[in-house]
Amino acid sequence: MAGFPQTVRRTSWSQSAGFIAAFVGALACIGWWWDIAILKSIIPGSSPLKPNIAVGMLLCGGVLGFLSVTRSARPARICACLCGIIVFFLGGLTLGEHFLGWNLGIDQWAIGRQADGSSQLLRMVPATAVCFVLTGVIFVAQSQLVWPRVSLPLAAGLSMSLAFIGGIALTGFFVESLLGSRWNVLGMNISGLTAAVGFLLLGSGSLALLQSEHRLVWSLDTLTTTGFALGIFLMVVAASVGFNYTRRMLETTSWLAHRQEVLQKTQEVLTDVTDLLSQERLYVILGEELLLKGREAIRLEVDKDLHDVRELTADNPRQQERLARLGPLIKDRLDWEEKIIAARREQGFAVAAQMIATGPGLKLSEDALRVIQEMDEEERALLVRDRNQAEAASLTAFSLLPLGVFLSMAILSLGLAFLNAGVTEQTQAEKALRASEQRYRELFESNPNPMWVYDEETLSFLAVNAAAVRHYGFNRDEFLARTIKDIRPAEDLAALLQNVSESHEQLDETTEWRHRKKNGELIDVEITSHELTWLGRKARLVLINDITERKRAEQELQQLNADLEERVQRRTAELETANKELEAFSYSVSHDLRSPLRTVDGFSQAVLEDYGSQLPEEGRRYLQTIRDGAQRMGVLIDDLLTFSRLSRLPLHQQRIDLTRMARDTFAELASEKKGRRIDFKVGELPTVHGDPALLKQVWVNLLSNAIKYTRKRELAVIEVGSKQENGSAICFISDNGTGFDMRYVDKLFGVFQRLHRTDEFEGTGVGLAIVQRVIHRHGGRVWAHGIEDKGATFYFTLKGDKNV
Amino acid sequence: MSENNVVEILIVEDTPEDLELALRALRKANLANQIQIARDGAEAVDFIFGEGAHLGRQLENGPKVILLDLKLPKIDGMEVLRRIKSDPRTKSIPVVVLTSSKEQKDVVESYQLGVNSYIVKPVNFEGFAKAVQDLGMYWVLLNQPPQP
Repeated sequence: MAGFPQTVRRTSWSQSAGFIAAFVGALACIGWWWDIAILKSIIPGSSPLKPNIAVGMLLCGGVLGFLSVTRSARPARICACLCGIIVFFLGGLTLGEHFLGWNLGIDQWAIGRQADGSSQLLRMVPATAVCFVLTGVIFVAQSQLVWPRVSLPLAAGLSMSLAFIGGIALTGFFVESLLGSRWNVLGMNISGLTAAVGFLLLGSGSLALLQSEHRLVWSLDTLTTTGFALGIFLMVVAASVGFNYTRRMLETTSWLAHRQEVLQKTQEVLTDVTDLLSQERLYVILGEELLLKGREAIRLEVDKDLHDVRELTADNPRQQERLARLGPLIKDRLDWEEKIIAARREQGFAVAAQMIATGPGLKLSEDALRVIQEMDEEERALLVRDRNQAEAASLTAFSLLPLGVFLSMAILSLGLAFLNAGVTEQTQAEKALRASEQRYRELFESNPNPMWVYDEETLSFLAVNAAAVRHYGFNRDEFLARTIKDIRPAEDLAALLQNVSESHEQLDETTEWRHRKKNGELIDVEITSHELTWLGRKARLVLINDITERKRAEQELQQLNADLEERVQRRTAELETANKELEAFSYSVSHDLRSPLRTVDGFSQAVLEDYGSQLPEEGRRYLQTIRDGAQRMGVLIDDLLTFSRLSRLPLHQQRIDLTRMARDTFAELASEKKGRRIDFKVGELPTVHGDPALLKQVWVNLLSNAIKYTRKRELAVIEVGSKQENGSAICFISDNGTGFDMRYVDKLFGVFQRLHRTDEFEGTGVGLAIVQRVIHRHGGRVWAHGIEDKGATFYFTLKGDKNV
Repeated sequence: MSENNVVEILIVEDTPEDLELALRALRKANLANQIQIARDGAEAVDFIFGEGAHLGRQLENGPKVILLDLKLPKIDGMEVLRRIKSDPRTKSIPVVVLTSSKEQKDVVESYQLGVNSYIVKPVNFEGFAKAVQDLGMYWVLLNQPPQP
């Protein structure tokens, strides 16, 4: 945004400059048309703006303004080109008139009615003509219709030159008006102050136009620019000063020749007069008529010489005054001489000699000689003065020219050095840039994933990397001759075009597509793309990831999962069915199987109660055996149902203090302990998460087993406790009972498996199976160690049985 | 069945052996009078609500307590219990579920339906007889039904 006001200012300057120049030109034209003196020169004191200059200024200013206002629209540029051609020829033809002697009459064409004056007076000076030639080229370049490569530097450079010339001429005029023409060492003359101002306006306006349209971007640093500007300025100054002094020197030299001529003519007059006088004397002495031959011619010669001298010294009033005296003196002297000659011829030698000796002749001769001598002296003095001046001018010119050239050389060299330094820096930066570009190109080129860049408008490939060539099978040229549509299956084209036409965000996005390789194989790809500008085109960089294998694996996995899911569902259903059947079975067992047992037991009891007294002892014992069997079978059924229920019921987990549970359970087993001496030791047991009802069952079974199998001991010792192993607690319960044979340890936890005879130790063989089932359901492990007739130890762990 | 039609105890039991043992136990406890027997769920419902064979029976004449087996032909015990407890005329009659089932779901469901007691039949006769005697004594002799 910072540049915006500046642009406005520059545009407005080019507009103002153009229109002021056009206005000045227009005023001058009006002035010439109606012969109004003040309008011809515009600036008071300036020499009038010559008609052709006025017309050129009007044209150029107008076109510059038009360009600025329309921001170089095409019509304005065509106008600029035409105007450029016109003023180019205006200047060029004028130069031709100046230097090649053409007489084309173009100095009057603009104001034919006023063409009564001398054409020389209306003709612009060569410098002005050069300015118009420059202006012409500038406008043709500004039109941008021709010379596309050089138009910008041409327009910029020549505009600068034009502004320089205008500026220097303007400076010259100021110096001259302030200090006198002697001090206008620049000697620049471009047809007056107004023209100088006009060209300054046109040059600077044209520059401002270039800058306002950002066509002229100044990249050089200030120091270099200043150096070059100073160098150019000094060169122009040196050239101007040299030109001026050379001109002066040449002028003075021509004066020297002029003075020589005056001297020569004067001497000729003297010689001729002396010749005439000598003739006269000889004739007086000899009286020979032959001696007078050619006198008239010499007299005419004298008159002509005198006339020449008068013309030659027209600029010198003192010499003119002397000539005015000399003329009559010579005439009188020559007239007297004629009289003497006449006297000699008619009256003889004596009269003539007398006239010579006494007459005014001598006096006249002396006076004339004196005047001639004065003139001679004067011319000689002037000659000396002019020669000195010429020498001084040439000295100045010869010293200033090389000085200026050396100074400009020095400054231009400095400028060159700075420019070089800048360019070196730039070259190194470019090298670094190229190296960096190389690295990034490699990132693209040797990327293991296929990558390409495509044009967002034409969809054609702009670049592809080696991996793309390898992966797709197209060679590079085949790729670049295709569009991204060509590698899609036909049915995806609509989606592709839709995707491309949607305005993409600049952000990266990843999408899945299908691509077709050269061999026709379809692959699944994952595409990440990013918008970028590629060689000035709106393009998109694409990174391709072939996910065909992954997709296949994913699909297989999905299929497997689906199969597994189906299998699980089928198994679950089967299990549920089995579970329901089992439930129905055990329900039926629990009701129907026990019912006849109750009948057997109940009616055996009824017989014993009601008719026991009538039965023999043997009969009562049989009935009691029937009852025992029925009751044992009831217990078996109950245990079996309990065991099967354990597998089916959900766990109700909560915090359980195992120490307390073991102690309480032992206390509750009163009937089993009846009449026994038992040393029950309780060590530290962990607090765990578990189902209290089930774990209670574990303790009941293990403790009642321990009590049961220590029955034969005088003092039973039962100990419960725990030990830490690998970070988890192992609970144990040991006794000093009958123990068991480790060979049969495998059978210990099986359902209905017993290691002791029923008449020795009663039991159903379900207790330890229940213990194992409960422990397993809690994620734990149970095992036992026994020594026959010494005792047994049961160990179990529970999942997550860390001390809470 | 007694002459004055007042029924103290209704026993719903389909197994004749269990029924006989139950009656024997009640008789031994001197509770054999005024006992009504239903051999299946439908018969029990007819009697309780005065329908079918018992059409016109006065509901005020009891029973004072119902011993209900769960596994019954026709209408099962759980359904009988539901009907008793959902009818305002009968829902105050104490019902004791007397069954050999130890199934948790039976216990839970029975209590949800509003059973007053739940007794698992002991296999041995002594236990069974004692349970029936205790129950009968308790409900018939000690527990007064709430006044309407």
